[in-house]
Amino acid sequence: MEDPDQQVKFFQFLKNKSPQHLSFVDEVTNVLNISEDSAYRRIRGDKVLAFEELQQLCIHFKVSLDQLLKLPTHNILFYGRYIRPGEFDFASYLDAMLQLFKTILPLPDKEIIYLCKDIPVYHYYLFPEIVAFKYFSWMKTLLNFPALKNATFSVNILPPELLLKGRRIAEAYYQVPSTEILNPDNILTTLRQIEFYKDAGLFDTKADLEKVYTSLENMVMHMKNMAAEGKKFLPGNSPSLSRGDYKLYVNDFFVGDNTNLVRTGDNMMCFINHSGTNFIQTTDKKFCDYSYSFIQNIIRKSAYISEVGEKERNRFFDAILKRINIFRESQVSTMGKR
Amino acid sequence: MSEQHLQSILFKRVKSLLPSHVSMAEYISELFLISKDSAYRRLKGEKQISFNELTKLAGEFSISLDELFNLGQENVIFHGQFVNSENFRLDAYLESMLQNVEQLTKYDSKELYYISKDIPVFYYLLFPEIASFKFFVWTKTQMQFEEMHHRKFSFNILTPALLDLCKKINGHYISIPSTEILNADNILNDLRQLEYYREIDMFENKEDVELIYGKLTEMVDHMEFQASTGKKSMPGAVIAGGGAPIKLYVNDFFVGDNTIIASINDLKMVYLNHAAINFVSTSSKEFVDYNYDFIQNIIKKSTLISEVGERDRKKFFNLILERINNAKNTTNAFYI
Repeated sequence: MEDPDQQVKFFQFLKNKSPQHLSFVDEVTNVLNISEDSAYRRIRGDKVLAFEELQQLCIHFKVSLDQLLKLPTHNILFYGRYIRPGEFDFASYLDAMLQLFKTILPLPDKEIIYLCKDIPVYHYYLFPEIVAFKYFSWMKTLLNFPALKNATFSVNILPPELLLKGRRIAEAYYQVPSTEILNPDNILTTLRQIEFYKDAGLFDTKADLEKVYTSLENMVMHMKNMAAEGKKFLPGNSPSLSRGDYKLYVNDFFVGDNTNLVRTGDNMMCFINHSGTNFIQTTDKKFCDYSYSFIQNIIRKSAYISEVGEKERNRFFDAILKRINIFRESQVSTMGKR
Repeated sequence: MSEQHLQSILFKRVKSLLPSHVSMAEYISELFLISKDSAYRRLKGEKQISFNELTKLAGEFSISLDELFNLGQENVIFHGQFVNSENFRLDAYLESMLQNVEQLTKYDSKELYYISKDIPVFYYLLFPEIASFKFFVWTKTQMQFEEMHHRKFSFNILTPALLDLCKKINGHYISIPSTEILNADNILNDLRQLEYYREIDMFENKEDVELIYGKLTEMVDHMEFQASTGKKSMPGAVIAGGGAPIKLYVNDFFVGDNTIIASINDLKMVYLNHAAINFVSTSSKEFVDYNYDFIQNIIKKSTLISEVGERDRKKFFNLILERINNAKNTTNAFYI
C-alpha cells in the first residue's frame, strides 16, 4: 500500500466505535477470520486490506464508508430492526432500547431531544394500564401479531416481564436530561385508539375502559408535575433525587414526527420513526446536524413550560386533561350501546 | 460476494460513467499514477485495488461504496437532500419532486401510496394561495431562511417560476394512480399555523387570512369531489376528468407520518418524511417490504370512502370543514 494512512485511520475510527470492554484486535480477528498477527498487520497498515475484508468490517461495525470518506453521494446510512413475531418481538424491541440506555447512561454529557408526534413513549411505561393498552394497540392492530388476533383487551394483558422491562426503560430515561417538544394534538392518537376499540367491542369490561382513562390521566398529571419541577422522577419519588433535567416546550405550530436525537458529548445519533412503533437510527453527521438545527428552530418558536411559565403550563395540560375527560365521558357512557 | 466480483462491479460502474471514447486502462493509470500494465491487472481482477485507490475512484465518480457493499438487511441506505437557504432552496426541492413524479409517469404500471400526517402535499400545490402560505411557513418558520426574517406574509412569495413548478408537478400527479390514507386530524397543522400567524399579526393584508381559509375549504371540497368520483382531476372540474384513479381511506386509529411509497412495476421505493418537509428515500427491499406490508395492514383497518361509502365520506369531510370553520371563527387553539 503506497500510503497506509487511510487504512490506519480507518482502523482507528473502528477502534473508537468498538465497545471499550472488548479487545479490538480480537474483534477484527473474529470478523475477518484471520490470526491475531494478521489482524495487527492490517491495523498497522503493513498489509493492504482486501475489498471483501473492508466490506465485512463495514457490515460488522455498521460503518458508512460514504460518510467516513465524505463521498458526495447524498446517501445516509441508517440502521434498524423491525418488530416481527418470532424474530424481533416486543421483548427484543424493549431489550434493544434498554441496551441503548445502558450505553449512554454512564456518559457524563448526554441529552435526549424528542420532537413529539405522540406522547413520548417512555412515560407510558410507568403506568401499567395505559402501557398495557398501547401494547395491545401496537401488537394487535398496527403490527398484526397473530397471538393477539382474536384477543380482547383487559388491563392484565401485558405479561409482567414486559411491564418490568418497560419500567426499566422509563427509569433509565428519567436519568437522562431531556427536552420534549409537545403539541396539544399529541394525545389524540391514544384517545382515538381507545374510542376505536370501545366501538369495536374489544374492551372486556367497562372497568377496563375506565382504568385506561384513569391511567392516561395519571400519566399526564405526572408529566405536568415533572414539568413544574423541571426534573424527571418516578411517581411517588422526590424530585430532589432526580438526575434527569426535564425541559418541556409547547409548539402549537407544528406536530412533530417522533424524531429522537441522542447527544453524547460531541456525538449525535438520530432516531426516526416509521411503520407505527419502529425506529431506524443514524449517526450520519450531516443528517444529525440538520435535524438538530431544525429542532432548534422549532424550539425558538415554542413556549417553555418547565419550571417557569406556570400559566401556559396549566393551560396546556388542562386542555389535554379536558380532552381526556370529554372522550372519557362520551365513551364510557356509550359502551355497549352500538 | 468475492472481492474480485465487487471490484469488477465497481469498474463496470466507472466504465458506464466515463465518456465512451475514453480508455478505461488509460484513465485508471492516470488517476492512480500507475503503469498501464498495472491498471490492466486491476481491471482484470488480478490485483486488488488499495484503500486509497478505492477512495479516489469513489470520490471522482460519486459512487456510493455503501451501496456497492450491500451492507446487510439491518443497514438501510437512504438518499436525500435537505432544504436549506444555500444550496437546496425551495425551487430545487420542487424540481426534485417534479423529477420524481415525472419519472413515475413514464411507466405503465405505477402507483403512489401516501399515509398522511398532514394533508398530502400535492393538494397544497393545486391551490396557489395555499401553496404560497405553506411556502411561507416552511421558509420563514420551519427552515428559518435568513431573508424571510423580517418578512410578513403576502401571496407574492409564490414567484412565477415556483408556480410553474407547482403546475408541472400537478400535471404529472393527476396522471398517477394513488391510494391515500387520511385522518380527520391531518388538517390541524394547517389550521394551527394560520392561527399562529394571525395571532402575531404576520399577514401584510388582513383579508388574506380569510382568503386562505376559503381556499382550504375549496381544497377539501375538491378532495371530496375526487373521492366521490374515484378519479383525480384539476380543481374546478364538475365532472370526473381524465385523471388517474384515486382510492381514499380514512383511518381514525392511526395518524400517519407522511410516508410515501412509489410503486413501479415490481419495484418500490419508500420516501420517509423528516424535519417538516424533507424526505429521504430508499429502495432497500427489506425496508420497503416492511413499510408496504404495514400500509396494507393499515388499509385493512380503514374505511374506503372513494366511489363507495357516501355516508362515511360525507361525515369525514364535513368534520374537516367544520374544523376549518371553527378555526376561522375562534381564537382558541384547542377547538376540537
